[in-house]
Amino acid sequence: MGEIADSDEALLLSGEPEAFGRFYDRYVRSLLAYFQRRTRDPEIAADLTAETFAAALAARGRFEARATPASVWLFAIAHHKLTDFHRRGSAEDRMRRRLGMARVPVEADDAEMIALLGDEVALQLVSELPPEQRDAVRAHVLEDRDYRDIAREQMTSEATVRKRVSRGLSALRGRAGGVR
Amino acid sequence: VSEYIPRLREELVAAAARERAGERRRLPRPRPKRLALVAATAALVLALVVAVAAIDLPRDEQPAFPNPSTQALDFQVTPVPGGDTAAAAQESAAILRARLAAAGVAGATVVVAGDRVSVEAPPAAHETVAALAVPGELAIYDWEASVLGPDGRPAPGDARVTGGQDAGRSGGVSQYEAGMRAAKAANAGEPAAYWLLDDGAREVIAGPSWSRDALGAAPDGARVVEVPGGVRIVEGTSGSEDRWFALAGSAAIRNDDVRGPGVETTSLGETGVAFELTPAGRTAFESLTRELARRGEAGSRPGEDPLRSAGHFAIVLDGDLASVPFVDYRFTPGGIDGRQGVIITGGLTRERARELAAVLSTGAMPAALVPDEEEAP
Repeated sequence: MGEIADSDEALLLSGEPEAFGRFYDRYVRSLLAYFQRRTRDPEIAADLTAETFAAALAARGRFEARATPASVWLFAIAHHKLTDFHRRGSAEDRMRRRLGMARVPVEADDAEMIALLGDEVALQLVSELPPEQRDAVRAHVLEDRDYRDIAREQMTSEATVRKRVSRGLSALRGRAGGVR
Repeated sequence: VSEYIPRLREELVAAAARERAGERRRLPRPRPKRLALVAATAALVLALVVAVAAIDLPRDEQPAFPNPSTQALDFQVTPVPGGDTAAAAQESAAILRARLAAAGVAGATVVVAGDRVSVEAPPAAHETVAALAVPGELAIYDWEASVLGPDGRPAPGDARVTGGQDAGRSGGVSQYEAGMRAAKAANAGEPAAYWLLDDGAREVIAGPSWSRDALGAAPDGARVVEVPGGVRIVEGTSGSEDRWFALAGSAAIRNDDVRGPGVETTSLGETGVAFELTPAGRTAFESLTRELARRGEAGSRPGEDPLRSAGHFAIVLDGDLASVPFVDYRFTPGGIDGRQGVIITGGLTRERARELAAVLSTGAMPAALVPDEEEAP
């Protein structure tokens, strides 16, 4: 299968480390934005994102593709991590430690990028994109909808939607300055 | 330039590779410094000693001599119709003592005399005592299935009644209109309540009361309406005159389902009261939120904001709408895990949160405790 044809579920269930990396690529910005919007703290958003992906990596053997889409499953883990954070007052690192993952420090540039992903300022930048890119970015990044769903709604191909999202994000990064 | 996303990716892919190869990587755990550990232990012991010395639980008996530094707050005990006043007074006093202890109010004495409960407490604590003498009835409702429309029946699909996405703020009506809607609701079998409404001015004059007689003679243009048992008129937080709602149906969660309430601060810096749920409460909460997720998904339309169809649950405390959270079916399609417990936030000061936690720690009062300057319901 080619890169574009691989579904989220296929990437998650593949034992290939790089496949999990590609799954990560698809959702890391959505998750950072999700946590940033709810905690307003880039460092906490980063820790919760890392812990969510670590939990997903550790638990992917239990993922059932028929029962639920991978994105929904991932965000259910994220929701659980967020609730746990609210109760404890701090982001846990249990899964990262279990997997032997070092904590990735959040530098000033990282914090700026995460804040932009979750802030209204970023939403404003999104609204200034060309309509096709704006709708695709909004649907995929801000509303966490999958490419197939958006393609169906916009009556176009999945590849086109991916391209629009990619171009839209590139434009945003350019406008935000220093955002990867 | 941000390096966070690629660096986290590297860590994850490396971890995936180790998992695949069956390898383990142990990270060094930071060891606590011995001196810091000793200091922390000493501080903990000192705090315990101070806490034990400072504990002064409310006493059950009258002091031998009147304490000049305290003043009495008197409450009339008003049980539900047919209730045993003496038993209700004793039980209410016991609950109040427990709440005072939980809130850390020192130097208070609670005594029962007939149908009255009297609290001797320093004047500075009177406000807290009054806050702790409330009924403390907690109820969590399925919002869309419980809010009554103009005909006295729920209208889950009508955003003009439920408020749609702005549930708990939009869709509210005047207290008079809420009373009219409540009076049209079906009877659920519990004791009815009575309200005195002025049809001309479209205002509530008095209520709720457990008897018609207690409302006195209706003035010209006013009348007494009977609100079926189990129907509640609750006050929303919008601040406008149209902030009232009539709710019917049984609550999914009540006081008996609550365990271990305490004050917590959220990551947003909001002070709240968090509590766990009993096994029965967890089941009920999961069932409620699963149904809300199911309805939210069933009502969604392609291309529409998913939250437009999201279901809500309402946390009601003593007739006040504490909050109306939504259930996002995309993230929790099977409902919210009841083991996570519930947290109530919304403009609470730390002091108010402590009082609320104390109130929820004991269960609801079996009778209304009405301060002497007010009229009994």
